[in-house]
Amino acid sequence: MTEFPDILSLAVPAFAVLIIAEIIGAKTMGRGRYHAGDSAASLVMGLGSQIAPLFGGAALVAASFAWLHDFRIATLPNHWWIVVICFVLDDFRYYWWHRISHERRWFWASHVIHHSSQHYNLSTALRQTWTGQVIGQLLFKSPLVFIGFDPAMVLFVGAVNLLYQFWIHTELIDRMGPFEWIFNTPSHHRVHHATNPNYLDANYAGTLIIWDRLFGTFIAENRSEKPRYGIIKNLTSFNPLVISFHEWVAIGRDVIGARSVGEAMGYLFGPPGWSPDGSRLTSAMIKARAARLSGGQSGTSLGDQGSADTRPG
Amino acid sequence: MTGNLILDLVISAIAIGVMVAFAYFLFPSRPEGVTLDRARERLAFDEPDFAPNDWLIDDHARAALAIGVDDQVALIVNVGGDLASRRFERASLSVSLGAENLLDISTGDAMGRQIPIEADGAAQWARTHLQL
Repeated sequence: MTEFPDILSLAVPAFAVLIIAEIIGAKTMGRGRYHAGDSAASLVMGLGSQIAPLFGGAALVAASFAWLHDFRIATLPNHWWIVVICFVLDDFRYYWWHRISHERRWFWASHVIHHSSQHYNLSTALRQTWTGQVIGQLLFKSPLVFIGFDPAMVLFVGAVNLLYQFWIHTELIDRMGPFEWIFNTPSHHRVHHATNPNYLDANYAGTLIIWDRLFGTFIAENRSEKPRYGIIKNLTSFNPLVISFHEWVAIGRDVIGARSVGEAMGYLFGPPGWSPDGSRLTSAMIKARAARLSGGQSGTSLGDQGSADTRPG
Repeated sequence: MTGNLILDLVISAIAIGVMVAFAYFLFPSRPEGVTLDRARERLAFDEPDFAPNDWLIDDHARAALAIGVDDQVALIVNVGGDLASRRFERASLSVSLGAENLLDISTGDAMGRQIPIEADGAAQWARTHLQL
């Protein structure tokens, strides 16, 4: 394997400088806001996400990639244009990984951490999961290694993708013209983090927004509807342990209380908000409720839980 | 960053402290907490089909309870100046009476905490509306 730089570690000082700059910008321009407790929680989650892989996740990824690479169907050289192709394919991979992370509770339990702040700023970008590497993310990355891309390259382009996504977590930047046609931007990603019913289930892109446009999940930010950030049931704590594990504990509680294997599977792999009696709300049900209350039409009823629903946002 | 995990952790902790202090300096905590207007607004967004009939607001602006139609109850909680809400069937709401004017309410969340509401007549409000 070839050496690729650890760009996320190299970028850490820049993250700190940009967060300080955004705090000043938010204050002076009156756009965006910070809360010390919320930011502290986000930053501790970010630090923890760098430490968590040391408890086995990083070794698991390295061993799995090395093993899979032995069975690759081709050997692709480390030319710059191969790196570009790998990046685009990995971005496509990210879109589906991100989408399923909203559509299935098993994956959502890990991803909810990133959405659990009611604020949208650069510190939110660093509010990352501690359990991402143990829930199956490897399966989504494996095809690139199997095709023949250098495992180090696959990890590198994934890191580039994450690095790209840092700067789009801001309210300081408005629309970006034609750039928005192809690339994910702060405006697109504000919609993704919003809990407004009109914005749910949208804009899963990492770097290229074309995947959302292609697969019907793109929603543009509407100037008349300001995004409200967070999750459907916003957390009542800034405790990093609560932020990190609350959904896992909730799943455990639900599965233990399930009355059948089918119910347990529903709690594990159904849409977030799924319940056997429909007493909780999936995002499809929330959208249907909003449509009903506004007198609009909706394709789903409150009883329709079979569709692929996502939790914001 | 440096290759030394302990040193990296120390540097990161200091950097986090600086950033949080800076955020605190420029964005001091919002003092208002849970007011009737803010609670109404949050509830209207989170639970637009919930029609509150009567409210109980904590004297320290930490939380509020609303009783709605059809035996529904809503809890609004202050979280660092932002608000979070929960909706319950009245029968499933877990409330304990701490003192005459103090209610302790469970959010029902996994890893959730007890939410105190202290207000004049809180116990009477709970007896009337929650049938404690």
